[in-house]
Amino acid sequence: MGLQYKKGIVELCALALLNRRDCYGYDISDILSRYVELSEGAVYPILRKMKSDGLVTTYLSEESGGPPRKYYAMTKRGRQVYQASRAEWLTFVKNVGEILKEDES
Amino acid sequence: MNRSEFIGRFRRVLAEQRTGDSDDIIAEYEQHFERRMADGRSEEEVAALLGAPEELARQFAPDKEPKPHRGSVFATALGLGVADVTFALGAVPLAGGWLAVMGSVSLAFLLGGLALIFRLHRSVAFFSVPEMPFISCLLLGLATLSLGVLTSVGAWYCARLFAQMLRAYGRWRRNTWAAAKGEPTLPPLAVYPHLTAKTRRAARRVALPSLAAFVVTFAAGYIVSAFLAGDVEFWHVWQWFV
Repeated sequence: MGLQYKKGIVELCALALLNRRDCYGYDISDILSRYVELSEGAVYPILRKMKSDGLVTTYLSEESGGPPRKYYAMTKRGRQVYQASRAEWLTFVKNVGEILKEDES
Repeated sequence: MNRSEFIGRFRRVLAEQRTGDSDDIIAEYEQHFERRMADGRSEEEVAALLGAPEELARQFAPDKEPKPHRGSVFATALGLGVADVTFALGAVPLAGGWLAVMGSVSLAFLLGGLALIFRLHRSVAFFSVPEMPFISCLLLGLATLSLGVLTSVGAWYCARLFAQMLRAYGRWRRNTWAAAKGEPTLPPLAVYPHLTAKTRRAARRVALPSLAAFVVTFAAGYIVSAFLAGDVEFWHVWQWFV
């Protein structure tokens, strides 16, 4: 799978995770590296690009007895992009599935 | 490759390509090491799972696109100067004045409420509180106190908002200047303060009950006073404004 292509998928998955709750970068990297074939470190540059594109924002939160940790949260724009990309992706997968299904018999 | 070797090689490439905010990026990888090692992995294993440090660092390279503002350093300096003067002479005194008003109003409500509840005008000459029966004093005092709590929450939020606006302006200013000189820019900051869910909950837990308490005690105080004085305009009967 091409790298650019993978980046888009990681971006969509990260938005899906952040749609549920705010996450550490580590959480996103941990979950996604289990599902998508990607080195664990490669999620962080994508998160940073999403931040500079205004899809996510970050804030520091102090945990009891530890150094402050960076949380990622979805922005309003991120939510809009997520809804649109999610619908687009689901249609895409359905259409591709239909084309491939014809070879089954 | 151990942790410090990974971070060292990563940092070198970030510095070479002049990535802005590199400490922030490195902190994220340090955090990754800590979390993974807490799961019982060795430094070498974590580094191997992360990927090649040079390759990762290159993905943080600043955009190579030509900067449209580049070259107009003088015009940018002039523009920023005008923006700074406007900001310093307009927005800052306005925000400061508003905060001072909100703060004094809150303090006055809080003190006035306490004075009414404890009938301080009897003992402290500073408070000039009109005469009324004890029950009116108590109810109207509680109403004033609740209102003071409510405006204090408002003042606190305004302070957070203005502080965040100040930071956002600083970041915008820094980015504009960096862009004019062709240097890497940082992501812009949000204008609204980001309150954690915990803080938001706490603020709501203070504001909503104090609003409810104000409405209830004020209505009760009014009804009781009108009843005791035998007139809906009880302040005339008790000669408050004579």
